[in-house]
Amino acid sequence: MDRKQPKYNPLCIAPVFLLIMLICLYQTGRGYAQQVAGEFSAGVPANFPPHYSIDSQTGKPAGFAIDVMDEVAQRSRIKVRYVVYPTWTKTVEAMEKGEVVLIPNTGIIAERAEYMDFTSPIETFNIVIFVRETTQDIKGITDLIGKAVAVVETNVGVYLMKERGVSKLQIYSSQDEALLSLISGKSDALVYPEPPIKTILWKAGLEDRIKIVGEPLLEVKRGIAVRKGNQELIKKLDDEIKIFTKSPRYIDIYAKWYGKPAPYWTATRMAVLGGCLLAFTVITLIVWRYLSLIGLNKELRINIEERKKADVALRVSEERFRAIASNTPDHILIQDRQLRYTFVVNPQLGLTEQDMIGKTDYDFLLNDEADKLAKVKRQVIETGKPYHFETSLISKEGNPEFFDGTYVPKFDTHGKVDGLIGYFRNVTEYKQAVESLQQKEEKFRNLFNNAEVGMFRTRFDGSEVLDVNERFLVIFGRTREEVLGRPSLIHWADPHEREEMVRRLKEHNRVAEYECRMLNKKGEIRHCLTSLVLYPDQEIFEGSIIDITERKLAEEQLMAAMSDLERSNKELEQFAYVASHDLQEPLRMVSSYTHLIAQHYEGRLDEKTKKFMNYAVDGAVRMQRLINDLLTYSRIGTQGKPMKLTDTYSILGEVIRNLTAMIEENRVIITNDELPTVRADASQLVQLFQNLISNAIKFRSENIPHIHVSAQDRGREWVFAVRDNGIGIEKQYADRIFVIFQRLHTRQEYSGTGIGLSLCKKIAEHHGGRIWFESEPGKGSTFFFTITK
Amino acid sequence: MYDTAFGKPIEILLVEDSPGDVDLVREFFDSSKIHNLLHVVVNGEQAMAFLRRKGRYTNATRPDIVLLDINLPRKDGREVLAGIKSDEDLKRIPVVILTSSKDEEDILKAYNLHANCYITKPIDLNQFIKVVHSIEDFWFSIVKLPPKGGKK
Repeated sequence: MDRKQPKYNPLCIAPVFLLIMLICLYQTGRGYAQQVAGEFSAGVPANFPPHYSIDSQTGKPAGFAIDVMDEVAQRSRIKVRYVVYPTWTKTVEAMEKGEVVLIPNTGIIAERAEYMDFTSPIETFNIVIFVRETTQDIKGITDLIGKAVAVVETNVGVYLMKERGVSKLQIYSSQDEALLSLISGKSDALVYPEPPIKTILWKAGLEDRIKIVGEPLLEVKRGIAVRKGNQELIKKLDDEIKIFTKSPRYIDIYAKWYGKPAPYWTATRMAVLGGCLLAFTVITLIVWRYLSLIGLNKELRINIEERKKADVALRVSEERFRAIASNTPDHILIQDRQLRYTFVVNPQLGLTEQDMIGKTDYDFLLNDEADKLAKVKRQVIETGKPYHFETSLISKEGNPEFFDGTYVPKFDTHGKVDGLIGYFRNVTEYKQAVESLQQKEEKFRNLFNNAEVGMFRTRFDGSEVLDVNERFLVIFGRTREEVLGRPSLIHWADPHEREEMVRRLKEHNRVAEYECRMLNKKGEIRHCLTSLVLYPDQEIFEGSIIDITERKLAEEQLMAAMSDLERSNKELEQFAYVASHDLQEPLRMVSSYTHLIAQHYEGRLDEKTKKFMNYAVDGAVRMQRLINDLLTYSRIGTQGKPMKLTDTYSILGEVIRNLTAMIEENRVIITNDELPTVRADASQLVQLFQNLISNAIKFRSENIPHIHVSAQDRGREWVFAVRDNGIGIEKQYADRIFVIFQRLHTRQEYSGTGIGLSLCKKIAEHHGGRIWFESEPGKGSTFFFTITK
Repeated sequence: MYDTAFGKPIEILLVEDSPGDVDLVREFFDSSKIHNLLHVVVNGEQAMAFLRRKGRYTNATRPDIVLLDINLPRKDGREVLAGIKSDEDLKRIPVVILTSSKDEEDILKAYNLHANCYITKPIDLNQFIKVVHSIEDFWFSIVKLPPKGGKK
């Protein structure tokens, strides 16, 4: 909106007016002397005191008017010659005839202007109503009707009274007589010019006996009358009059004739001043009004500009707000003081913006709920304090949704609360996250506390232990109070190891599984596997400690056992060597030289001696076989070759080849199922199968030997079976047959050292398996052995 | 082929600490048709001294073949074998390991040290005689031995 500025401009008038006024005031006080040569005649009436009268002593005219005229004339540098006329009328006629040019102090009346000009007023006085002090019923001109009113002949008062219809006039020839009439009570009032009466009263000391009532009846001004056509003279006189009437001399003259200084504030001056003041006031008011209007206008314009800017800003701001608000997942509601919705973003409860604008909570909620809300909202509006709260709603899906809500007062542009703004944020996910975080933390805390590994957190400078778990306390045999807040546990470590650990920690910010010795509360050394992580920015490090003292002890024991085993193995090897070489030598000697003796004494030995010598040789040979078997047996565990994938079918083939003579001799039938490939020492496996099959043939029955080889998958192991139809084994020997050199039969019945099955047992065990048999004497036996996959 | 009647005898060095075995071997070679000369030393040190003609063996002849037992007192057969085979003068002399050890490791080690053959003494006397006979037959009749004093 652009309002037009008012067009009037009082300022244009005000300076002009002020100028005029100032000039008026200045002109009245200004004076300058001007030399005007010449003598002018002045007519004066003979008797009109105090203005004109004839001095009884000098016979010359005297009076207020004469003194003023003389003073002005002197100031104007002119000479005045007085011509005395018997009456006022004659004096005026003399001017009309041109006998005189001047009449001092003439009342300035419009009718006279036709035949004379006037200087500026020298004297202004009022025609007033005088009454006695005690008179109450005369308050103005209208009260004079029917009263005895004293007047002085030829005075203007006579005309005034006649004009106003006052009939009961008492006309006196002089002012003194008239005043006496009033004071004596002969007259009720006196109408006469104010200054002469006041002079008499002042001189007589009767001021308090007489008072003036009502408004002045007439204001009379007196100036010097100048015959028409003397403008230069008038101007000259005027100039001096203006100065003179303000001078002390004028006051002296006035006091001489009137008894009291002439009042400076004559009605005219008062009027001028009043007028000026009024004008000034008016102008000031106008100017003030104008200025204030200008100011207001300017303000208005600025306001309008600001308003416009504010409007634009407001629009932009609202658009922005709406843009932001509508893109936020938050719910924003604005309500006025009556709690009607005025602005809604993302309404809840499945409502739309249109549903809500202009409505209140009572339109959507149960009264109870709405009441509660209204109470809170009113409180916010009344106190101006925000209200924060959490609330939950059940979603359409039936899950609880949590909201973080805030009501804040909404302020209008004057800072008064004109409503409230509600913000709601769906904090369900946040709450869930917090909850899950808490659960996680709880979980980690439990993990931390229940871990089988000692854990700790401590300041890097070693000043304070911040946190430890239960296991940590167990390792060091201390209570939580003895550890937390105390200097770091690093001081419990072996000094050298500690130094190394700190060095590594500083270098890499972490140390992994560093083995160090630490002291527990009792001062016992605990072997600890320590892992540390340094967080340099936090100046802390965290670590875990595993007490490996027991493990270390076990390790040491194991190492000892290992070295024992190694030694034992070495000894076994030594034994094997001795068996293979050193034990053979003497046997060979026995056997060889028994032979040599036999050869040497051939033909000379009796049968008995021959038999004895045969026993000796046989014994040596058997001894050698036992030694060899023992050697083989001992080497199963120690000299085994690495396990390789081995096809048991081809193993069976090799066994059959090895036993060809025996198989053919006994006409043995060997059958087999599908046989697997296993991880094994092939040569040992050959020996195992060979021993079982040769046993099956050796311990055959009358029937043709039938041997069946099969294998069964038992998951983690294979179960091999070698079944025969031989003589069978009685159950009671189940354990005995697998013991080395244990025999069930004499050497005469079945040859062999009795090592076969014990060898089988050892081979099976070497392959992580076991061996057993099932048998029915007379029907046959089945030997089972397993090999782990 | 050697001239068994007129030619130089075959020089045999037997390194053996067991007197029984020495007698058995001597018995065999004494009755052999091949003209031979059996020198016997009882330990490794003596064997090396003999071969290098040191000490009391300064006048010893260079043997045509060495029959070496493995387990010997003082310096064992392996060291003697290594000494012979690393000696430029001696390395061409065939070395037959004749031992009662059946140990696989002994066998491997002997061949690694460039033994010319490895024989286990049988326990049976007849078997033993058979073996020694085979040695005689193989090494002295079949095999062409390096010429004596041949260039290195």
